[in-house]
Amino acid sequence: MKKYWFIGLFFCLISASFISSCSKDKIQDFGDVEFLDENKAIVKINMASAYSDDRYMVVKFNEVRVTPWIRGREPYPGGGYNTRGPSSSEFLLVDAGNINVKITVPKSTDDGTDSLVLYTTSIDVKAGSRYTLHVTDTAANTKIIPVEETFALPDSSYSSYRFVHLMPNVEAIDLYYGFYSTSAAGQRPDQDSLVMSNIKYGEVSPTFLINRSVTRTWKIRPAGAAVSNETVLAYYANAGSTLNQRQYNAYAMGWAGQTSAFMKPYISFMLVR
Amino acid sequence: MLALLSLYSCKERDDYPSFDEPVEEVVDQDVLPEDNQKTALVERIMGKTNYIKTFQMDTTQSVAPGFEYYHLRFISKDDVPISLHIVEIDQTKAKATMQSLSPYNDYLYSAQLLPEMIEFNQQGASGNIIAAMSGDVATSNVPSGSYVKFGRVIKSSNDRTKPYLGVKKGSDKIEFFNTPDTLLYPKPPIDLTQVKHLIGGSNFLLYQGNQGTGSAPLAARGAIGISQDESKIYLVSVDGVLADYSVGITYDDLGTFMKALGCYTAMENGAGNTNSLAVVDILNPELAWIQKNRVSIFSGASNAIGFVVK
Repeated sequence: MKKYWFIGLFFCLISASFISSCSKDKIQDFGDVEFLDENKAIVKINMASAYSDDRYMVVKFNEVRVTPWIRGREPYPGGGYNTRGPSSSEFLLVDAGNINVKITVPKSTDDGTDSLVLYTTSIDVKAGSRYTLHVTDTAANTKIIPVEETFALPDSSYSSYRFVHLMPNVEAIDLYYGFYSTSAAGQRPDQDSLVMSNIKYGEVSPTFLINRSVTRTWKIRPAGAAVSNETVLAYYANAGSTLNQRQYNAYAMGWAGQTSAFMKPYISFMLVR
Repeated sequence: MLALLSLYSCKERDDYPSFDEPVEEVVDQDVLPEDNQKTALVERIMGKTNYIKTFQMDTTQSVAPGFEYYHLRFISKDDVPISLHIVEIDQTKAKATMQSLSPYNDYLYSAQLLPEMIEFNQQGASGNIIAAMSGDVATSNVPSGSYVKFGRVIKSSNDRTKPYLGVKKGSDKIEFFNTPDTLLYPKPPIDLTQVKHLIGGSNFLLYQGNQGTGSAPLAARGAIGISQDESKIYLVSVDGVLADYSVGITYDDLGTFMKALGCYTAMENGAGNTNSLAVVDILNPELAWIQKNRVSIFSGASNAIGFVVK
């Protein structure tokens, strides 16, 4: 008798779970969301310092670590295409005002202290604004280029871009797109179109829109260089760089003349929105 | 008991649409207006070929000085309905030149519907694009032949018997390039460095008044021809394949028609669903172009030929 009572209780529990599982109002709670209030701003880091030893770095705001260990070509938070981050576009929520920003190298056995401080600066962050802090060059030449972002949704079938030149040993860069090919031999300069010209090191281009009718190869060449395969510093061909109504920071990083995976030039696409 | 409770817990949804009452689909009736008066152009064609067996109607519209658009419907010699569009460009009035049109006004291989393509290419054009036709045959949006736009060779081909329409650098004269037979009609190969605009077609229909022959079946087809004195350019697009409306045209009949129209040399453009003919909207001449022909399902063209008035 005791055994039957137990089986009955089991059926009742199962039945209750079925009834509750088909409730129509179940996805209502989005969790605790901290909204951007008038004293907040959002910031992201574009780590574009390329070292031959591919070293890890940490970014601190007011002496507090705001990133994990990150390396060159690894935006944080979020990422993009031809980066080492994910394909998402998060930002850090920070208090507006003057922020002390440090780029440091952690100790190999991390005890929370810095092995080396590469760069320190103060950045004024306006309330309600959005920023990307582009970290470029290396060692004592490390510096941050803060850029205020505007979130403007492009029309359907278009993507929105700004190009940032973060390649220290190239004075100025021309940005092109052309025929889609993922191989160097497959590039066809006869279909290249100049998108932005003569963007100097550390400069950010105006915003431009690209019709995403067809997947293409992005290319960077030294400013004024001939439109040929030989002059291409870096290229990237991926449909992810022309997604519908996305907003990107296209950026050139690395070192012209270098060929190792950590040091060579890259054209990458960090997602802003 | 489990089964009953499961059924209860996932009880019938109440947000399905009702399918009790059938909805009648409204089909546009194809009513041909009575038309007892043929235009002079149609009279001329009917005087030179028996391809038009029973005339049904024609309409005409002046879309710009020297640009006359005609829509013609008839029963052909094969007792099938045909709907056909003609743009007659009178070069003594229009003084038009040609411009290669590319999808999205870009150099990439892509495809775009013709009116949109014209709109993109109007930016940077040397004048107003009054009329345009789809261009070369393409595979995966890559045109089969050479393709030059504003002197830039986007694609090159060594084929010497494929027809091309283009203009040379330093000139506005629209002319055919290549020859259907290098032995019968010898001609030097195209020097792409001397060409400003160049778009290919699929085949010559006429060359120096002589008609080619082929076995291409009924399909929506387009053609461009020039008269012997080069005073007239004709753009022709045959609708198809649309049952009871227009069944399309064969390669041979299209050649015959172009000859009857007064062409001395003519080429066929890409056939099928890429076949497109558009003219400027006379009510909105700087912003809109109207697709005039009909195919079963439009697919974008990989390039096109624009006729520009400076």
